[in-house]
Amino acid sequence: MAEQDAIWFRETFNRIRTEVGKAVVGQDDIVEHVLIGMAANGHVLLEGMPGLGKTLLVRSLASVLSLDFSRIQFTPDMMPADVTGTNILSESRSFEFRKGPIFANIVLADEINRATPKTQSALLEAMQERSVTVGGKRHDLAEPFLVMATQNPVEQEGTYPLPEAQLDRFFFKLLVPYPTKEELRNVVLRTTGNDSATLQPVATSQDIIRMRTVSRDVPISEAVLDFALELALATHPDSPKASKSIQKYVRYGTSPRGAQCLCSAGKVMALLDGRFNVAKEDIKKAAVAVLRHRLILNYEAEADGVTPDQLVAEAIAHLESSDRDTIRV
Amino acid sequence: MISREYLVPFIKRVRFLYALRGLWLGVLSAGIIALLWSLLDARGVIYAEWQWLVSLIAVGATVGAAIGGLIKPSEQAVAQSLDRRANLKDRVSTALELSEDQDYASAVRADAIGAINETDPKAIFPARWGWLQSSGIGSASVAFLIFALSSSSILSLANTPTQQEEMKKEAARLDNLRKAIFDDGSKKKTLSADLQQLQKDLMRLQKDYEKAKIDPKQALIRKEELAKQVAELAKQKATDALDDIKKGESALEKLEKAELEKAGMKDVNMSDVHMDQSDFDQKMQVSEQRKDNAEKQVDKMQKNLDSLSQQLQKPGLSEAERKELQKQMEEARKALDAAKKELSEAEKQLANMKLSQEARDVLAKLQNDPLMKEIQKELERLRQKMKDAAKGEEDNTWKPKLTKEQMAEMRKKIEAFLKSLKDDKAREEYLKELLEALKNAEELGQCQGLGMGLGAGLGLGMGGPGPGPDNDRMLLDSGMVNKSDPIQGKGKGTPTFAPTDRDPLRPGPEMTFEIKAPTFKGTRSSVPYEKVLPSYKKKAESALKKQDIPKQHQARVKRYFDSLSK
Repeated sequence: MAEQDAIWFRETFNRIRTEVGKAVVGQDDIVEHVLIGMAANGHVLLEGMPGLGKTLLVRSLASVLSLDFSRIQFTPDMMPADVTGTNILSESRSFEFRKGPIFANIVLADEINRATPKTQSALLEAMQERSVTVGGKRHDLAEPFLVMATQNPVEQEGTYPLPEAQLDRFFFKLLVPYPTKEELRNVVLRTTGNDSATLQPVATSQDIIRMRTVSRDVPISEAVLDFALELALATHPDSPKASKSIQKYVRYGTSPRGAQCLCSAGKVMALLDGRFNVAKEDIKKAAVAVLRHRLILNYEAEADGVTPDQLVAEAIAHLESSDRDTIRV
Repeated sequence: MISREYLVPFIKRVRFLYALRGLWLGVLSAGIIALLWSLLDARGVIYAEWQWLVSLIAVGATVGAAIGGLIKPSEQAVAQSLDRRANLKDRVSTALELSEDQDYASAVRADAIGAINETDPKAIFPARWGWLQSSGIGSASVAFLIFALSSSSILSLANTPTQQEEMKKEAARLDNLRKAIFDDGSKKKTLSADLQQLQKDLMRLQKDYEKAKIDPKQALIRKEELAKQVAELAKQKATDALDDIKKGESALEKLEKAELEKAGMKDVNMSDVHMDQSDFDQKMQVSEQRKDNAEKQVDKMQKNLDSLSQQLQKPGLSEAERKELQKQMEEARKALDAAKKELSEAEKQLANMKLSQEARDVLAKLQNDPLMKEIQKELERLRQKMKDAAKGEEDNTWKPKLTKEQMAEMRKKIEAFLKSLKDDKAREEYLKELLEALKNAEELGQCQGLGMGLGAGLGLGMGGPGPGPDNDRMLLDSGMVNKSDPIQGKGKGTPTFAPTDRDPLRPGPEMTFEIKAPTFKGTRSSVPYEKVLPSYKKKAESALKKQDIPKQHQARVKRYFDSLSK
C-alpha cells in the first residue's frame, strides 16, 4: 500500500512539475524545490532579481493545482490588516470580518521586504499556526496553505530585512538564478509572441494534503537522523562539531526548526528518488536551501564576503570528514 | 525488520577480514619484535635462530588472526557500512531498524533485500593490501635480512671460510659438551643459580662460535675466563659439600648424644664409641693389660716395702744400716704411690672403655643399620673427594671414583632411608644435609666435566664427561694459527686413538690430538722458541724416562718435539 502511495506521490509530483514547466522556462531546480516545500508543508522564500519569473512560477503553481491564489504586493505603507483582513461595520450594524488576501491556498508575498516589520509580522501567525487572529477572534486558514514570498536582494533603500523569526518560518530560501542563454531565448520567444501556454490543473488541494501525509510516513534511520541533527548542531559556533569557519563567521546557528525541515525535505526527496527511506544524500541535498536563511552571520563574514551557502557546504564537508566507516577493514 | 540471514554473508566476510587484519597486525607486531631481536642478535646480546624468528612471526600471525576472528561486528555496523560502500543510500540500515508494523516497512525491506541481492560481499568488503600488510611484510623482511646478514660471512669476524667452518665445529663441540653436562636425559634436576648462569654463558659462547660473530682471539679469552669461573665454582661446590657433610655429622652426633643421655650415660668418649670394632677391642685389651700390669706393680711394690719394714725391725742394726734401710723404704713407698696412681688411671681408662662399650651397645641399633653403614662409608669417601677438590688437587689414588651413576644410587638410598624414618627429626636432618652435600658434589662433577671440556684441566671428571678434543687443534686447523710462521707453528693436528691408562669405569677408545703448534695467534713471545726448544725437549725426555708413560704416548711426545725442530 505504502509502495503504491509512494508511486502516486512521485507521479503526481512529476505531473505538477511538468505542467509548471510549460509556463516557467528553465529554473528546474527552483521549481522542484518549491514543489518539495509544498509537499513538505513548508513556505518558500524566493530571492532573486526582478524579472526572473518568481511571480510567474507561483502563479503557475496555483493554476496547475486548482488552488485559491492571492498576490500581496508589499509596500512600505501597507498595514497588517491589509494582509490579514479586518472587521468592518456591515449594513446590519454589526461588525463583520472581511478576509484579507492571506485567506488563500497559495499566497504570493511579493517583495516582502518592502513592508514594515509590523506588517511582515502579520504573516508570522499565519505561516506557523495556519490561522489569523483579528479582533480577538481566531480565523483558520484554508488547507493547504502555502506562502511564497519573494524579495529583491539588490535594492536595499526603503526595504526592511525580514526579522530572524520571520525567516525561520520559511522552509526553504531559494536563490533564483539568472537564466542561461538558452533559457533566456525561450523566455524571450515565448513572451514576445502570441502563443501563450495554457496550464491545466493536474492536482487538487486534496492531492496536496495527501502528498504531505504520504511524505511524512517515510522512515528515517537513526544514523540519518543523527546526521541531520549533527548538521544542525554543526551550524552553531559553540558546538564541538562546528568547523573553524563556522566558529569564525557564524553568530547564531539554525533553530530546531532547521533540523525538522532537513528531515521533512529529506523525506520528500527520498520519494522523488524512488526510495522509501531517507538517506544522508537527501539531507545533504536539502541542507543549503533549508539552512542558508537560518544562519546569522557576523560582521566578519560580511567583511570577508563569506556566504551562508559556503558555510553550510563546509559544515557538511566537516561532518563527512569525521563520519568514518563503521567497519574498518 | 530485515531478516538477519541476508546480512550473514556480509558479517562472515567482515569477520574474515577482521581475522585477516588481526593476522597482519600480529605479523607486524611480531615483525617488529623479530626486528629488535635480530638487531640484538647481531649485537650479540640475545641470540636468535631463524626457526625462532619464523615461529615468532607465525605465532604472532596466529594469535592476531584468532583475536581478530573473535571480534563480532554488530549488524547495524555492517548494515551502515554496506550502505556506505555499496551506495545503497541507507536502505539496509533503515530496513534493519524498522519494525514490521511501521509504514513502509515492507517496502523498505523489499527495497533493501533487492539491493543486498545485487551486491557481492567480496566486492563490498575486499581484502585490500595497505600499509598494515606492507609494514608487516616489511618488518619481517628487514628482521630476516638483518639476521641473514649478521649470520652470513659478510659480517663474520672470522677471516676465512675455513675459520668459519672450524668455529662452527667448535660450536658443535661446545653444544655437545653442554648437553653432556647439563642434559643428562633423565629427570630434570633443578640447577643452582650459579650453574644456570654458567650454562647460559656456555650457550652464549657456543652461539658466538656458531655464527662466527666473535673474534677468534676474543673467543679464546672468553673460554679461558669461563674455565676459570668453572674452576672457582668447583672449589666452592666442594667446600659447600664439606660444610654440608659437617653439618650432617653434627646432626648425627647430637642424635647419638641424645640416645646416650636417655640411657643415663654422660661423658662418653665419642671417639671410642665411633672407633672401629677391632681397634676398640684392641684398645680394650690394652686397657685391661695396663690395669693388670699396674696391679702387679702395686703388689710387687707393696711386698718390697713390707720386706724392708721387716728388715728394719730386726735388732742389731747399725745406725748406718738403719739409715740405708729407711732410705730404701722411702723410695719403695714412692714407687708404690706411683704404681697405685698408674693403677688408678688404668682402672679409670678401663672403666671408660667399658662405658664406651656400653655406649656402643646402646648405639649398636643405630649404627648397625646396614643402609646407614653403607651411607656413612660412602660419605667418608665423598668427604675425602671433596677435600681434594676444595684444594684443587687431583686425586689419582682414590678409587673407585664416585661416578654419576654411583652418586645417583647413593641419592636413592638416602632418599629411601629418609622415607623410612618416623619422627626421627635428628636423623632426618642428617640425611637432608647429606642430600645437599650430594647435590653440591653432583654440581661439582658438572663443573669439573665442563672444565675439562673447556680444556682447563680442572681435575678428575667426577660424574662428568671425559676430556674432549683439544681446542688448540681446532684453532690450528682453522687457520687461526699461522702455520708458516716459525713462531706460531707449522703442521696440522692429527686425531689418533691410543690405549691409555684410563678409568676402568669408563672404558673404550679415547680420542687424542697431537699438538704441533703454539696455541695463541698474535701473542708473540719475547724469546724465539728455537732458543728454548732444546731445554724443553731435554726436560720432556727426562720426564719420559722417569715416569711410567705408555710407549705410544712417549712416541707422540718425541714426534712433537721433532716436528718443532724441523
